[in-house]
Amino acid sequence: MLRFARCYSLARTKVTRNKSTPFRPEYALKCGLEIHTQLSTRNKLFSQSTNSTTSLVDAPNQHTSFYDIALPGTQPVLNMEAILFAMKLSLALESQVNSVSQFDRKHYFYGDQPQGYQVTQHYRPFAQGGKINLSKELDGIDELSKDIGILQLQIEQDTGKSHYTDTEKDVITLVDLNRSNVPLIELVTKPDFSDIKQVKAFIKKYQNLVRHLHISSGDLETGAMRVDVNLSINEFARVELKNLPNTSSIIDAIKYEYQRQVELITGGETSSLMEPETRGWTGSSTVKLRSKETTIDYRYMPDPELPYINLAPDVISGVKRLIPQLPDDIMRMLMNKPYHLSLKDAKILTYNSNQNDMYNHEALRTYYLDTFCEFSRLVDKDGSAKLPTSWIIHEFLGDLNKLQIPLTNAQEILPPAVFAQFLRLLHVETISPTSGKLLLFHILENFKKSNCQDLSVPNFSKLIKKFGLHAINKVNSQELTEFCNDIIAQHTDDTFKQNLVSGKKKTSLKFLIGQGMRQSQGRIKASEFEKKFKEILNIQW
Amino acid sequence: MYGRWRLCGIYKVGGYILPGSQRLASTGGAKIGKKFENMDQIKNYLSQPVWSVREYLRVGVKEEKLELPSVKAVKKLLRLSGLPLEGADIEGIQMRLAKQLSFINKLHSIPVEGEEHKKEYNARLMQRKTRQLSYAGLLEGIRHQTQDVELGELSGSWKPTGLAAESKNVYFVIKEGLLKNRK
Repeated sequence: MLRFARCYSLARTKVTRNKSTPFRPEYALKCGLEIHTQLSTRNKLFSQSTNSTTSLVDAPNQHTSFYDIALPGTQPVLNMEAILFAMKLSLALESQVNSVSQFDRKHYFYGDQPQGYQVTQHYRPFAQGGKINLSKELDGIDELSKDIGILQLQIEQDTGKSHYTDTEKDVITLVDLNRSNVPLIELVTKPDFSDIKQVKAFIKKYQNLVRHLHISSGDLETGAMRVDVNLSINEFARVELKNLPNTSSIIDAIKYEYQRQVELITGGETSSLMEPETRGWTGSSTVKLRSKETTIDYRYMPDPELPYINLAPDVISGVKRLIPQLPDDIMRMLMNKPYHLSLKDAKILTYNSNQNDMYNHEALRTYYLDTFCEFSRLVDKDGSAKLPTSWIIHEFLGDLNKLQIPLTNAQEILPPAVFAQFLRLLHVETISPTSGKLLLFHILENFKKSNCQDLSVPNFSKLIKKFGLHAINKVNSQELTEFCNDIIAQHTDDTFKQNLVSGKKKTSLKFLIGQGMRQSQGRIKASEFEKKFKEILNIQW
Repeated sequence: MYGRWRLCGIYKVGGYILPGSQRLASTGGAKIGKKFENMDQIKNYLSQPVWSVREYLRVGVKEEKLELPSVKAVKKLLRLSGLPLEGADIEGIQMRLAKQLSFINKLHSIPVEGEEHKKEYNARLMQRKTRQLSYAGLLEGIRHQTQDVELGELSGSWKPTGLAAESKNVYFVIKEGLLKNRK
C-alpha cells in the first residue's frame, strides 16, 4: 500500500491513444495490478491438511486442521512446496529472490479469518523486482515492446469463504474454512499500464505462466487467481478497485472508473480525487468501500512463531534447473524456422486454456515437435512445414474433439513416427487431402468403437486400397470433360454462367470446383477441375 | 538475552529441523535445589513469585502518575480486537493499558545499540540467525510431507463445527452483527 502511495503520486505518463477504448491523451491513465494466486501445493501453507483442487464441490470444512480453524495452542509449520513454487515464479519473472525473507502478521477481524490475523510477508517479502515483457508481435499491444515491472512477490495465507444468507428471521453468514490457510502468492506490479490492451495481455500472460510452471490452475472463475486494480489519472490520487471476478469485470471496471474520474475532473469536482480510496465493482459501476479516514490499521508485526526463510545460494541455482523453457521462448521457436507457425497456432501449442479435456498443450506440443521431426526425416529438407501444422493442429485435434478421444489414447495407435508416415502419403500425393481426412477419421472412429482398446497400428496402404482412396494422378481428359459438364448442367443456369465467364462473380468457379471435389471424393486435384471448367466455359480471366 | 532461551524444533525431517513452528522455551534461570518430598512442597514452590516486573522497572509504577489512554482510543482498540463495547469496563481497561504502556515505554527507554537491533522486522523473540535452507533440504522437506491425524490434518477425520456453539449444514455460523454494524 505504502509503496503504491509513493509510486502513484504526482505521476504523469503519456497514454497511447487507443481507438478501442475511451481513453484521452490529456487524461493519462496510470494503472497497476495486485494479483493473488492460489498455489496448487499438495498441502496448505502452515499445516499439512489437503489443499483441495475440487473446492467447488467439496463439503464445507472438510479440509481443515486444528491450525486452519485456529484452535488455541496450534502452531504453524511452513510447507516447503510453497517455497519451491514461489521460487519458480520469481525466477520466471526475473525477480530478485531475497536470501532472507520473513512472515508477518496482518491483523484484522472478519468471520472467515479465524486467527484474527493473516500471516503474510510485510517487512521482507520473498522476492522483489522483475518484469513481464509484452510485445506487439506476441501479445497484440500497440507498442512494439513494453516491460511491466514487478514490485514484489509475497507468500501469504488465504482466508476462508463467507456465504451470506438471508433467512426469515436473521441474516447470518455461513463460513467454510476449507480455503483457510491455502498458500497464495501476492504479486504487485509497478503502475506501468497505460491502456486496457496491456492489462488484458498481462493477465493472460501471467495466467499462462503460472499454469506453465504448474504452480496454480490460474482460473479467475474459481478464485484461484484474483486481480485488484490500482488506477489514477494525471496527478490525482490512486483508487484501488476490488471484487473483480473475471477479465471482463476488470476491463469494464477500469473503463468505468476512468470515465468517472475524467467526468469529475472536467466538472471541476476533484476534491474526492485528492485522497486514495478503495472502490468495489458492482457489475455495472464502482462504489466506494473505504477512504483514507476508514483505512484499516493492520498493526503489522513480525510473526513470533515462524523463523525467517534463510535460503542457501544453491536453492536458486537448483530451482533454476527445474524451470522449463518459458512460453515466450517457445512461441518464438514455433513461429520461426523450421516450423513457421502462425501466432494463433503457436498459442494453441503454448497456452493452456484449461478448457479441453482431450489434450493439454504440453503433450500436444511434444506430439507436434516429435511428428515434425519424424516427418522431416521422411521428406526433403524443404518439405512442407505446413503439413504437420494443419494436420495435427486442425484435422487431428478436430477429430479428437469430435470423437472425444484423449490425445494420450490416440497416440497409442498413431505415435509420431506413424503420423509422419501418414503425412508423407499426403506429401507425395498418394492420397488427396480429402481422402486423407476420410482416412484419418475412419482410423480414429474405429479406435473409438473399440473403446480405445484396439491398439493395432493402422496399415495405411491396405486401407487406401480397401476404400479406393488413391489419388487419380492421370485423369482421362474425355472422362473429366463429361464429369464437369454434368456438374455444370446440374448446378448452373445462364445467369450463373454469364456472371462467371464475365468475371463478375469469380467465386462461382470455386463453387464448381468444390462440387467436383465432392463428387470425386477428392481424388482428382482441384487444379485439374479449375483447368477443365475454364476450358469448357471459355473463361479468359 | 538469547543465552537464557533455547529453541525447541517440533518437526524433524531426517534430522533436519524444519524452519516451521518453533516455540521458545525458557529455562527461567532455574537452579537445582532440594528434592521435593510431597505435593504441598511443589504447590508451595510454584505459588512463590520468583520475579517481578518491578525488578526490571527499578522504580515503582504509581497509578496516579499514569497517563491514561483516552476513552476514544480504548473503544477503537476494542473494535479492532473484535471485543464488545457493551458492558466493557472502560476505566479498568484504561488503567491496565496505561500500566502496560508505561512498561513498554520503560522498555523503549533502554538504550539499544547497533543498527541491526533497531530494525522493525527484528522486533520479536526469535533467533535472528537461522540455519540456511539448502536445495537438498528443500526437496527433502517437500518429500516428507505427511498428514497428522492428531492435528486434524486428514480430510474429514473430525468435525470442526462440532466445537461450535452454532453451526448449519457443517458451516460455521456468524451473526451478521459480528461482521457489520460494529460501532
